[in-house]
Amino acid sequence: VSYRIPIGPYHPALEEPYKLELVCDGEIVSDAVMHLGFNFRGIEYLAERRNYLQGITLVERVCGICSNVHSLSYCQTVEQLTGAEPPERALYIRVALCELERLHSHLLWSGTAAKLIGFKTVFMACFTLREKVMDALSAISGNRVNYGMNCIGGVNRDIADPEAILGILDELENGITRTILPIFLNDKTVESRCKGIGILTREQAKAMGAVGPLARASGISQDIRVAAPYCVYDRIQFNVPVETSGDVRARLVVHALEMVESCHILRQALRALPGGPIHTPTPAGARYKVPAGTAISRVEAPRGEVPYQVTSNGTDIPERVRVRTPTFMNMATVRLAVVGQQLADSPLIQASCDPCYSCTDR
Amino acid sequence: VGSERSAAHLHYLDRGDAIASITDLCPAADWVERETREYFAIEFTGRKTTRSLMIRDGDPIGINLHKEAVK
Repeated sequence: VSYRIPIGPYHPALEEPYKLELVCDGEIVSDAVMHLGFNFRGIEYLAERRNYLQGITLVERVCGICSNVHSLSYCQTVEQLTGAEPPERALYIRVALCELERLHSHLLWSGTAAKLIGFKTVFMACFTLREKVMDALSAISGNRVNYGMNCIGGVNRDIADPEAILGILDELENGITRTILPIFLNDKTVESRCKGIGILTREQAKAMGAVGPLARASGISQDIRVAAPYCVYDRIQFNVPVETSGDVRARLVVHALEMVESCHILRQALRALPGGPIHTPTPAGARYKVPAGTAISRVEAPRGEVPYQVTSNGTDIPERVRVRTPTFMNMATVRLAVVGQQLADSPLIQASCDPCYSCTDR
Repeated sequence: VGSERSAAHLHYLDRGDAIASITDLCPAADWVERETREYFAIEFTGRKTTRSLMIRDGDPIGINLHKEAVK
């Protein structure tokens, strides 16, 4: 006998609202129906009513976790339209912020995944390390979330003491390589809970347009930092970890390896930090007029590619701001991943695509 | 994407317009089409279902349109 189990909109495992109806045959999930939009705030609509400088603050609030990439992508589109070239130092600071944000997002996800696996020791370890990243972020920007670092033509704040961040980085890399990575790679509990669970094949991932770590865990080597480098990623050496098995374990491994790579990128960026100004001189006042045209910019967020499209009509208010977030593409794959799986595994499978509903709904 | 080039080849759709769905060719377009329908009231023809994704069943479509466009 098949029956429907409604889960949400207030979700028992995750913090954000969405509704999932699982159709089950006994303990096995046979279909899933998703309802989104509980976090709809009309960001795109509002962005067409704010000027460009207010828009930066607005788009930074699309997501609470990867807020920096949204303002970065937005600023990059406006920079394309106005022709403002951020100075070298600003580009390196942007890379550092992007990677710190990736570290904190991946640590948050690893902790949540470990909690859903039932491995709370790893949850504690991840969140202890995450605090160090948050300390670094608040030392640089003054904020733990919504850093407010990007402006059109550079960044708002300088990294005054790169050595202090490098010190935090050593502790972090130690913790990730000695604690989290070996547990995700070798531990029996993790293996028995995650191996072969929620498989998303390469073909499915490609057909559904999966992006980010989810796609890379299904064997698609796709990373905007390599494919279309922005800021100074083309001057930095790093690997893009790819796993081919497509299960939850592959996603854990990809996230853990990406954190190690982020540490490498951060170290290179902070060591190579050039001198000079951190932003181009901007015109005074809020009347920041942008020449007419359309620009597109892509940034690799912790969860995958974030493209922004901004169309200007020559005034100080954009005609259209389009935001495509990674979870919007990744969340549709959950339906394929949960079918045929145990009902008890479905929360882990849902969480393993690193969902962010405030991004998805906007 | 150069702005002059894209403007020359694009055909703009307006509220209430319909366009053929591409979900049979590209499954990833499913959510994009549903979102576009709900946010901008553009219909996609040839789809198996148009169950609402972002809005609740029965809600008016076109929630992202300018206020002056929604009568």
